Amino acid sequence: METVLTSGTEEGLIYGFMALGILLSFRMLGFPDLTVEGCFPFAAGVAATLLVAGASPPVATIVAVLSGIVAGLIAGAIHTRLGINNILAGILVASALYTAQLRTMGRPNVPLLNYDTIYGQALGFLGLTESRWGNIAFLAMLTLIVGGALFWFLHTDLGLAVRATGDNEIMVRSLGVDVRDTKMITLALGNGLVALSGALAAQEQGFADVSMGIGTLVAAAAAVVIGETVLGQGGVGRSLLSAVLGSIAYRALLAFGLRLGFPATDFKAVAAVLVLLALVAPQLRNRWRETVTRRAVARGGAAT
Amino acid sequence: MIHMRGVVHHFLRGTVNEVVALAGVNLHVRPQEFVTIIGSNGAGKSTLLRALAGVVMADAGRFTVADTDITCWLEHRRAELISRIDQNPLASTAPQLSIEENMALAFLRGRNRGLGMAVTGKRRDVFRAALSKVALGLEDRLTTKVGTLSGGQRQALALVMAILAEPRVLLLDEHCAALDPKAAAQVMAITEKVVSEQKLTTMMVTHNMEHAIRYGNRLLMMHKGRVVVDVSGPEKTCLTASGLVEKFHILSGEILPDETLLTS
Ligand SMILES: Nc1ncnc2c1ncn2[C@@H]1O[C@H](COP(=O)(O)OP(=O)(O)OP(=O)(O)O)[C@@H](O)[C@H]1O
Ligand SMILES: [Mg+2]
Repeated sequence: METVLTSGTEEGLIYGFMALGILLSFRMLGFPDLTVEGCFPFAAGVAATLLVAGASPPVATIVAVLSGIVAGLIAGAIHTRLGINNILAGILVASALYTAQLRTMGRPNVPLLNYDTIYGQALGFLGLTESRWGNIAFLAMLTLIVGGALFWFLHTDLGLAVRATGDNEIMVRSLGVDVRDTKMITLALGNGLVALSGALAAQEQGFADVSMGIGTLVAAAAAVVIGETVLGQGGVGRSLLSAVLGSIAYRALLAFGLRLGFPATDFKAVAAVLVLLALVAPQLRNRWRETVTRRAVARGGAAT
Repeated sequence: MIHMRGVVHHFLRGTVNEVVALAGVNLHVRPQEFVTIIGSNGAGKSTLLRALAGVVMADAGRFTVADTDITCWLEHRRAELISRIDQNPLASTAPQLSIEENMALAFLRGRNRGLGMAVTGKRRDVFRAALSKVALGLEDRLTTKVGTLSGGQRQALALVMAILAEPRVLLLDEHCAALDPKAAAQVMAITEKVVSEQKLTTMMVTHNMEHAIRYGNRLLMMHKGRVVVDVSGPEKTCLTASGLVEKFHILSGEILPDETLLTS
């Protein structure tokens, strides 16, 4: 049980960055950004290739994040400047990133077992020994820093315009904001976070693989949705916190399922159902309420 | 201040449902003029304001505001000069954001947005002062989510937001239609006050004949995408609601040809 919790927390924090990215693009902007399916493994591949080539772990991680930001900007440009539908724009970029990743890595899988990683370096720097708890401490600190930066950004004038674009685009445009720019910023940030997640995941699991992106969008959306269900929707701070906690809960569930003998692949369907339920729940609730009211009226009772 | 020349706009062009929303509008509005616009449903009033604000890009015609040709400017750029409240109360405010966050968005209308804090103590004071003018108590609910306000409260907030950054031109599309009579009178009084205080050039669409006559110094009536009545000055002061309604009916029934009305 303890390993379920610790590995759930560790992976949950790693995938928490991805959940934060999805929170920005999918929840705040309403943009189902499939770029992430290509961006996550690509960033992992970039980090792994750089590490194998002798780059230091921080440099490899930062370059991976930058590559994610560029991927987000490209998807954003395809959508906003060329007028391509949002889902299609993401699929196009993800598809191109698949080739880019194979080209970068030179083969479908790059193992990292004998290389120094960001975890080893960070823990050495902090004077901690390498262990799962050490990793968790480092990841928690990184989450605090990144989450804090996001919290700050979303409260600036620009960040507010970014948030408002998903809320009422018509109004934001009428107030003089070029929504093409705010959308590109959101996708750049979102994919930067997803890339960070990819680079951290590769270094934790000890390899990068071309197939590690399949189903990531839905899994991250499921994490966001679980967090929202548990913590409820509220201000920016609560949204950020619930995305990270949702990610931890989701990964702990996954680890628990693996313990029980379910293959990891089963969870893609579970995640899909969870997201679907969360998306239709408000509609179902309304329809149910209407039915109850109508019945009450039909019975001659007072509908309140 | 505002020049519109030969403005034409079609919707669903090239289909069987094609609508000529604006059929050649020529209009010159002088600085600080307050123009009220009336006309039956579908006359093209909203489309005229939208075309000026760049929400729809007109098929033809030129627009000049404050001696600047803005014909090719996109909507977000025109926001520097023009502020508009839509007739849909849900269009002008962001429901998931708080009152102060909506105000902060409006505070920087048409300006660059950087990495400074959107809501600061100093700005909050400005927001509170501006909101207290509409006397709906919104100044005490700065952190309330706008989606939880009533339609009328949201429209009043939209008015405060529209004038917060001191635009040159104010376009109001039935901005009091969702308000109860008392609140409508209050918001109209505030509108008139800020328009004269800030020396705004204003165009206001309304279905309320009393408002159309009482407020402003020029009145237009639109019909089928054209301006068919244009009165100002003393002639406008002499208009009566019943007289206007009569003109309205005549136009809707099209008993008289347009030429007769143009010279009325
Ligand atoms: N988005 C649109 N698509 C198609 N037709 C439109 C659209 N917007 C307006 N129209 C048409 O253009 C014409 C003018 O509409 P407009 O909204 O300008 O009228 P209005 O004078 O503001 O009417 P109301 O008093 O009802 O608000 C109408 O015939 C309308 O059906
Ligand atoms: Mg209208």
